[in-house]
Amino acid sequence: MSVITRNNVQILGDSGSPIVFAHGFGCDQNMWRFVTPNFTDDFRVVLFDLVGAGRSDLSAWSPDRYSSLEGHADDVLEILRELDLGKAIFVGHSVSAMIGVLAARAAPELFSHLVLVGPSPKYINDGNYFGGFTAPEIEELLEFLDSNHMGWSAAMAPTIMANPDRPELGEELTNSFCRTDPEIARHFARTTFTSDNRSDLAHVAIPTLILQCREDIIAPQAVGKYVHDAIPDSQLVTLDATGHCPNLSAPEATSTAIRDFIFA
Amino acid sequence: MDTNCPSDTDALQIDLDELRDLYEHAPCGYLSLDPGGCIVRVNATFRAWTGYDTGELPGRRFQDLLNVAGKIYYETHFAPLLRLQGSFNEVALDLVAKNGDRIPILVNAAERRDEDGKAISIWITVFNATDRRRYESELLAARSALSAANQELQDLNEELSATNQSLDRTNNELHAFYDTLPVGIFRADPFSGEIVQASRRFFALLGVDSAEDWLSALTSEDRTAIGPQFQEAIRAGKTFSGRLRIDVQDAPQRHVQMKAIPITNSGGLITSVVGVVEDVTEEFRAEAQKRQIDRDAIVRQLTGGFAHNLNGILTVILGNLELLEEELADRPHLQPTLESSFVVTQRAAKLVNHLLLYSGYTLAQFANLEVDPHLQDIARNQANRLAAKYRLTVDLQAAGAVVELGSDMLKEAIEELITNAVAAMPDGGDIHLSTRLTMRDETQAREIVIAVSDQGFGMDNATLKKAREPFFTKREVGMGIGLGLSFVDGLARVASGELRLRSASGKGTTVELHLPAPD
Repeated sequence: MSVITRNNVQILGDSGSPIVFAHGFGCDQNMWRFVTPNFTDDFRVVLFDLVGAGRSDLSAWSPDRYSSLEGHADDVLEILRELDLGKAIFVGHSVSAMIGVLAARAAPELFSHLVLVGPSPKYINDGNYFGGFTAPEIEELLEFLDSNHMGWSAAMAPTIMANPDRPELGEELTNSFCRTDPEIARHFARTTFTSDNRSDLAHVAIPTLILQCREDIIAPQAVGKYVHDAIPDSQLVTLDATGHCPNLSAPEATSTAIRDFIFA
Repeated sequence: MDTNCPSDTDALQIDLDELRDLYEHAPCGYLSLDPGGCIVRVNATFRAWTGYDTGELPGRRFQDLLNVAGKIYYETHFAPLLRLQGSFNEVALDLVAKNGDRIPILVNAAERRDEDGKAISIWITVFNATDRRRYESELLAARSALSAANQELQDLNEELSATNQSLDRTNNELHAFYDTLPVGIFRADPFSGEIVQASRRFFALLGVDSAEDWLSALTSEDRTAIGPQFQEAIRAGKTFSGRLRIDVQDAPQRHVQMKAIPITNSGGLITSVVGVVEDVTEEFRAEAQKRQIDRDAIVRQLTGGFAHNLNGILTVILGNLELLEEELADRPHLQPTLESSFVVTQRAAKLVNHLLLYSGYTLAQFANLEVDPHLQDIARNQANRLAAKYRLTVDLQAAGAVVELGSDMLKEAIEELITNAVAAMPDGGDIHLSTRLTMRDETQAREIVIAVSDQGFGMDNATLKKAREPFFTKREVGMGIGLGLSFVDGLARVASGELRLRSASGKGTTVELHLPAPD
């Protein structure tokens, strides 16, 4: 199976440097739909779904390979090597910000810039470190996912399944962007919210932009500052946006900040 | 229309007060948010559920009313979905009421957009889902119980499989143990008398592949005798014990001892028959050998007594003949009769001597005799005596070797052996006389081997076994009385040596006289 099919890789734009947009926990590459139009003219935009999300090949998913973020980082490296487009700008949202950090640490030669949107190297508070959540709160989240998938994903599944051959129909199906197999969603939530990548930050050796939202309960400002302090060659830009998804709530500001960083 | 409800088209006209009333007290909660998620307006139903006063909610964000998990979910699923597809339905969340109570709700939401697709506001409808959530919790609990039960079942299966493996292992160990036993074991059906199960050694001992075929391993004689005996004993509930003879291709017959005993249950009923088979071939051979040795001893004793008496008689006769010789010196015509009486009586005395020697009476004279020169002389004499069709070849390789034996005895022994060789080759042939020095295997003492070989009839195994017994002869009656080899055998024994015979039918015979020949 090719990595292109496995990760449902899409390329928009014909020329220019490659810019990879990686989605975070919850939805899929559609998260970037309001941002990518600002890049397709002068970049080759690479979109993909993490294995287990969106229209990735679910048969490629395994609890072992993806029990840590390294499995997804390996996928990113495989995609870049397969595409062979030269040094890429990697834009990672939420958990994919850390996936980008791991990938750039493992193979810095494949990257020219790193953009971390709402990054958090560790979600759970740990001593003096403030991640924003306590361990019991994360456990509550995992239980909560159970109850939602009971009445929601299961009910959604037949509608999606009815059109496997015509993805364009599925495109606009209710909730399909955030549809995930309940088992995989729970596993990914555990992998994501129990990860600790603080020690990887210092090893990032390429120019890095941290995009921080003004009010983000998942990645609070203190966490963004922590990441900025830990990565040697990094800039921190705080967007005047609320929530965890500036790529949806403030796509223009997000795009501008990324372009400014690349062309600086 | 089959309904009791009044149908009044005027009721579709709704005034503002009624609309406000519906908004405030509809059986669901209504929230209006600005595009940033801040609450602008909520209805009375929602306020009643959550316990907030009219002015307390506007200005806060909807996700502030959720538990932590709901907040994360709102950020990662709810908000993106609203932005991407403009609405969502039936998302399960937990509201945190003012007093801290959790209120399970189902939420529908829609994003109001302008012509450019920009969000203007968000409308949220909230349904109380306490009962539904309870039901779902029960379903979840049932699902995890099922999953746990499945796990338990799987564990049980694994345990069972492990137990089976352990049983298999025990079984294999037991079989391995059976196979190491020096006996074969079997089980027979108490009603049919058939052997139904047997260990590997049972099959190996009997040389059969299946238990039912065991009788086919026996000699035809035993098959007809033992088979019925065995089945009869088993069916009668008795112990069977018997010796089986088994023909083995290209190898000596084997002997197997078989014993089978009935096993009774506590009620005295015979439930099974078990038995063992044991290879007793070696014991059987040892017994046979012992019988042979006993027999040899008896023959020697009888021969000795008989020869001893005869020797006394012959001594008297010879004495009398000598007396007569003196008395009849003046009667020449009687001399030839007397002479022939002397000759036959002396020949008789010589035969008796041989018999005595075989019997262990040591009448032989002993002297230090150097073998090779002596044999050279004997060979020269014999060569002159033999008919032209016989050729005597000599190969003496024991120079200097000395044995404790009278020269006449050795001469007589060699003459007997050459006579036998001649008799075995009526049409003539080569007779080979040789000596060599060797070490005796068991004592490592030096010995001389004096060998006489021919290319004659040879002897089969049965003949070979009896060859050294006195009076045993294959020659026709009147061609010799069969004392030759028994004499040589006796000579060897009294000289602390041994006679060895090698022969096969049609392949000639080699007789070896092994005698101690110390340095």
